[in-house]
Amino acid sequence: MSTRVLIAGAAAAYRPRLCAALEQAGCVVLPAPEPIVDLEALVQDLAPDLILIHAESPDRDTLENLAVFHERAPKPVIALCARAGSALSEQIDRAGFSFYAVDELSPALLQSLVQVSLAQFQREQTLRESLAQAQAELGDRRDVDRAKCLLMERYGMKESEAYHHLRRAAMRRAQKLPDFARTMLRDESQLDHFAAEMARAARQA
Amino acid sequence: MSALAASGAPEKSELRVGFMPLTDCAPIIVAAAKGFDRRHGLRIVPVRESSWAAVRDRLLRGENDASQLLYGMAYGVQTGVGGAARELAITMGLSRNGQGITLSRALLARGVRDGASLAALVHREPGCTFAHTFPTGNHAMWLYYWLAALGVQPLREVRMTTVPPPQMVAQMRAGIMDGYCVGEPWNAHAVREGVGFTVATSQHIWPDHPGKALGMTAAFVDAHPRSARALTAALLEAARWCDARGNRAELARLLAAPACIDCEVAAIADRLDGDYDDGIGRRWHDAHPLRFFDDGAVTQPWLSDGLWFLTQLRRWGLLRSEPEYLDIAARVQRLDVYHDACAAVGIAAPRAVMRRSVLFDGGVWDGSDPAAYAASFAIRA
Repeated sequence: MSTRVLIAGAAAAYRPRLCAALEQAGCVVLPAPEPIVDLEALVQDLAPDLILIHAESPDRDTLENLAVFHERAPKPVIALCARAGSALSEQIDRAGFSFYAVDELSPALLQSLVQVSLAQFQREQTLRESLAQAQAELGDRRDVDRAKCLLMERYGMKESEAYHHLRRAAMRRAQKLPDFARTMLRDESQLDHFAAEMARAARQA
Repeated sequence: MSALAASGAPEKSELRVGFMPLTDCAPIIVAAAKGFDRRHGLRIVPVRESSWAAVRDRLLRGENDASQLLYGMAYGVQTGVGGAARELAITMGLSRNGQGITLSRALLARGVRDGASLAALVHREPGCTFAHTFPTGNHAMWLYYWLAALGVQPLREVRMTTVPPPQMVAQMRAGIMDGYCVGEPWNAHAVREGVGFTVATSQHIWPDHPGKALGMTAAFVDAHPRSARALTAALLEAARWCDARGNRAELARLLAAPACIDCEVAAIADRLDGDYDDGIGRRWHDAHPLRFFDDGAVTQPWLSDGLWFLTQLRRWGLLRSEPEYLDIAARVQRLDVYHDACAAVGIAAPRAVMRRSVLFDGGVWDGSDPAAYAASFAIRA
């Protein structure tokens, strides 16, 4: 019989992939409303073998109560790990998920399902990180461009000249170019001060 | 512990301390905000948690060095209720009093105004749902004790569930439950929102009952005896600060801040001062309000306090067999660390390790013969 999995309080973004991965591993992912209002009633109705829940979800305490009072209810896997070995427990620690599983689930199966889930989690993590990085780079370029335009408009500099001055001013402050550009954009009243400084630097050069 | 180990700098100076956003997390927040940690060579990093399960897991994994714990939960972990047993250390009490039981306005409309009328309704029309905060936690134990004293079998005559404190009011409004037991500000919140009324305070059930505790793993205390002592000393000074009347307004502001409870100051201030409004016409100044220090009576890790939670875990069947009561309590309640910390800040700790209490049903608890006490209740698992 296939393992019945309930995903509770997982971020919507990685839920579809997680479902797909678990189904590929032979699980049935049980349908759950979003958000879940009465988790205890839902767990009792659906009787899942494994529950995945976000480690930061306040609903975890509801699962703890079920685990203590109902023999058939899934138990925190951190407790099962004490039997299964600590490698699994360490992986779960880093995953941002908590797992609750019924006693009958074999340690080997539990381990593979946890690993399938963690692989998805890490994949999403990597995707999110590269997206964030791309967005940051885009933002940097935009801010440098705006600072450059400002200098070109205000002081009639050429683009290459504006860029050169910005870069030198940032270097003198031991700042990154985008950070200096943002400082300048935030405080336009300082612009003339910057310009005077740039002119001085140009004379000295 | 040698005299050398007792003096000198903490082995680890930056300590992550878990807390739940509740009024009684105060000593942890204050120790960090008012610099009591630095006086003892520490930097306390308060870590806000979203569930008691996460509090427990982070502490057991060593992600947090110490934590605010529910007294009952500490004993659940020590004895392996619902998980693997792990050795814990309680080095001080963090609070007493100031929890409560709220009933819904819907019950009021059905004629329930107090414990007796609630019991009558439960016997007449079964199907009430009650919530607490953790299966082995203090609120479960207050709620069970209170219902049982009224003649209601809490494990069979009502449905009992666990709900995160910040969701209590919303779930009551949605009609998912009829009553709950929780820490403040979540009882006051139900009154302010017109969703429920305070039918009993926890200090009504047990005047000056133990509340939250400062917990570490025994392994952490063994490996970092100076850090454990310094942390306890810093929190002792913070607890004393919290109790000073002149600091109460500032305390309410610190607790209401977004990084802590994230609510209006007014939602906390009244009950912190002991001023109660039950939401159905009764207003009073409580003789046993939330306290953090009281000359060390609150902070002392009394053996009898630890024992009481063990008796209730046994009473309600969470412990399947008779525990070694005194042995377990003496391991968990680290009076040695507490006494060292008291000496470091010049507080005279009481010599007694047991204290005598009379609960609201007339039951006396003084720490003697816990097995007989646990078996003495007519209503139990």
